[in-house]
Amino acid sequence: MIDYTTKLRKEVEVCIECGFCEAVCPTFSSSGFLPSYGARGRIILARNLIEKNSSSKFRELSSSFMSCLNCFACLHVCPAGVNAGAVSSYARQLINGSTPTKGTDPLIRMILNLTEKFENPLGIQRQMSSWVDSSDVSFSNDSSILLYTGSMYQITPYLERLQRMRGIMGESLTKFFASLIARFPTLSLVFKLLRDRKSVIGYENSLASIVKLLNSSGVVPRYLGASEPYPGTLLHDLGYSENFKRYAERVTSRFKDMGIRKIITVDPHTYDLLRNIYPDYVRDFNFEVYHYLEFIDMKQFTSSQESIVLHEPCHLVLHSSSSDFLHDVLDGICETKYPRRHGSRTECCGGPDELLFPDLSSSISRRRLKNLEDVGGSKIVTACPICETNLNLHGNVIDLADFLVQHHNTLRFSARRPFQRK
Amino acid sequence: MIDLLCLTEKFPSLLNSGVLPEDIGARFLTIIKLLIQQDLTKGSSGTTWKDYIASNNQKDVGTLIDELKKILGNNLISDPRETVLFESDASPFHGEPPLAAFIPDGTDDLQKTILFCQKNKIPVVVRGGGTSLTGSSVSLSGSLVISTLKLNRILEISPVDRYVVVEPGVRLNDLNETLAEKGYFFPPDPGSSISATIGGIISTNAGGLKASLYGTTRNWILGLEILLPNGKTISTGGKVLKQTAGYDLTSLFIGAEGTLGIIIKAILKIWPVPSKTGRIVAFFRSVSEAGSAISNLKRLGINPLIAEFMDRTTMDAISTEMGITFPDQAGSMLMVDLILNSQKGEELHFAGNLMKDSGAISVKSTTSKQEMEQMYLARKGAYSSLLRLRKSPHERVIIGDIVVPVSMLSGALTECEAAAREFNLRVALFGHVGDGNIHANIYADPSDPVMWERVLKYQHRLGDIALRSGGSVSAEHGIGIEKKDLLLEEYKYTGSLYNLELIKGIKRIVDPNNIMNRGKVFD
Repeated sequence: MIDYTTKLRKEVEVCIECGFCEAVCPTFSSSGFLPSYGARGRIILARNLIEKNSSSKFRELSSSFMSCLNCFACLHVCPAGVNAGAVSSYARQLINGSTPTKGTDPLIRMILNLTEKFENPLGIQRQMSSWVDSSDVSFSNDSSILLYTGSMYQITPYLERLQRMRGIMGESLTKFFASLIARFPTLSLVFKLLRDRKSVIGYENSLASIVKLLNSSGVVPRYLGASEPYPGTLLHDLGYSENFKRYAERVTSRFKDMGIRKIITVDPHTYDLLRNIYPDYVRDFNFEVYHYLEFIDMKQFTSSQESIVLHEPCHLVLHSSSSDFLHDVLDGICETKYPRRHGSRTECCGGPDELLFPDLSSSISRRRLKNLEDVGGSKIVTACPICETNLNLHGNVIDLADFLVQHHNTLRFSARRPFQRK
Repeated sequence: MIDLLCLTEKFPSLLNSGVLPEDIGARFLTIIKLLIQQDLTKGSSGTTWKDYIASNNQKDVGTLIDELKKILGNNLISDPRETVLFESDASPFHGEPPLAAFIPDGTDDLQKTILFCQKNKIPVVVRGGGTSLTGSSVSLSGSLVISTLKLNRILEISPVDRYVVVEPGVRLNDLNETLAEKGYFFPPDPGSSISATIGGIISTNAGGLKASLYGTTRNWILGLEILLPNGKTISTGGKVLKQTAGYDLTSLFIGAEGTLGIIIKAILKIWPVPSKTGRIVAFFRSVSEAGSAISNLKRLGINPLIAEFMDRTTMDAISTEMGITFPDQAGSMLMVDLILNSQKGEELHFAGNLMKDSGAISVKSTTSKQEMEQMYLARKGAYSSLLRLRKSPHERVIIGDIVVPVSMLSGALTECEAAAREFNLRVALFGHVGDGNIHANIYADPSDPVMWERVLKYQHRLGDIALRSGGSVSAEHGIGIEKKDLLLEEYKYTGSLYNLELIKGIKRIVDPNNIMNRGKVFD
């Protein structure tokens, strides 16, 4: 098992408390500059957590670590090389550790139970492959290259609807239902009713656009359809390391049994999880993990005079050593503009906080959207379903794959478009 | 003992009343302080400073918090698990548990709060980005910490009149990004500019790389709005580039480190971004030669935009951490930026030749933005590289900060290097030598008393080098907690001990109850 205390100690010991990280931490400013919601504060609290061995005292402040977006903006400005995002992640694992207790938020318990039982955090795994039925895309069952959607595009509209329901029902009723479903997982059937047709179609179209772009670039991957497991992102992000380890091993052995060698991911979170987190938890996780943009043939696009604003997802730009493919693919198609905070200073959309800290998340996404709108482009484009959803709560942002298909020489954009939600 | 302490608190007003002649009064005060010290060392009373504050307040902590809550509601932060995060800043000093913290978003509550603190004699610590390297912003026992971070609006930009009006919580980089869109900038650029706030850099009179040409923050403040400890708000200076209307009260609050009042608004001078610049990187065999080279440049009328220096230890750290290579025989490096007025950038050629004449073993110059950025990577990564070469988790890199006249740089740098060897300390030198500012970065474990003693001695030696060279013990980091005794040394050396009396007199008038950042800058 990973020794989180040692990992945490290594990070916090070298911190000099200069506060540079606070200046770029989205939750710090959006919380009204509360230090416990900022990167520096999290490091000091984590130091207290291990030095004073006071987990019970600081458990009450676990919201400090839970609210961290893990965007890693802090890492890119730290002179001492401390990753406050990783600190929060390690602290979550230390505080939560293994199985959830009675005191655990019922929403978290529900997600853990449903993921382990149905391989899907809402227990709606059958709905995850419906996008293929209405899409003109090709797959090959013999291919050793796997298209792994990680269910992120498909599940996002359900989570969005869940959040809206939560707003209507209020916290206590939501938690009552969540604890009921956590106890009786088959009740998750109710989540199928959360299907917002218009929204689901939008995300399904984006997935279809991705596969069309791959197909037109000569890549015909394998797809597991309804049996594709969710990668367990939330298990890790919520800090349940032992549950995540077990689950990740289960997913990995599925891939191995199928003779998969290369995995093409479609969203930044799954890409980051498989490239950077899985190898820490799963022995011999020796798959080659790619982002779909790495396979796109750049010669297939028509250039235009259009000027777009790109919101770079943090899990692509800040978590990876190279994300040139994100920018390269747009070169020659259009003029790409960026907000003040871009590149290694890109700012998170606030999406990861939507489940547990919806107000904080909303404040962050409003600010980010304003910064993107202030740049003044014809469209705001991103390459992450979570960013898209969160920014679209207040504006209109489109997926990069859809934008690329619109500028493709031969591909035609789906008639079921345009997708707009305000 | 408490009575004695109360007497010293009240004594200044007695002194000011003219009842006692000033010299007799001062001697009386000294005697009382000695008595207190004896009492404390005996430990007869067992009374702590916190107890004293509590007794002076005559209210218990719970009552004070309840009363503050009546003023501030939920905006008061009193949970110790949250307030503990206000106890430290970027310095090696750790503060004491504050009573509470407050992050105002306007000045109305702020005024009520300061009046409450005045009435109840609650110490007040104002905090911006919390980037102080001398302990200026760490909390005091039983204090109210006021964070200015929500007061972060840029209120007015007037390029024609060359000013901008801002609130104190605006971060420096944010301001300059906004100004850059209009082709302007605010020159002070301390290394902490990403996080440092306008209130903070005014309070420490911060400098930075471009101080070589543009001077420190002091040169760029046209006016201030200050909330005084008595609840009155004053405006100083104005929106004009020249003004000689009476005493310069603006300057009084610059570098005061929050001991006199709370900056709630600032009028800053701004300047057009230089249109064309060029960069020179030169390597020398010794630190002394690099010092001479800068001195020679300035002697011949060249005023660098920036002039950055680093020694071999710093270069080695950069090599290890960033993979950037430097000439084997180089003992020091200079990076000089010039504003180019000529078509072909002849200034660069001239300055480059001067470097060679001063002993440079290698000189490279460019006007290409890309190449300039490449060259800057090394300087930008210097501190970061040094930090990553700490030998133990408890080791810190203490940044010494002195300034000498540029003409004295060569000797001063050599002395700083020799003193590090004498005290057996691992020290890396770099600095903004265009204005004579030397940073001696000392690797030290503050929890090792033997080593810490050597560090203190080295810091004193640095101060001594600065003073003997005609400079100062603090260039741009302020005094805070760290350099209180060195400030005293400077006053002694320059025969200006009366300065301290003047400062204390001003403090007594502005802050008679000594609530503002008590114990920082001077005791």
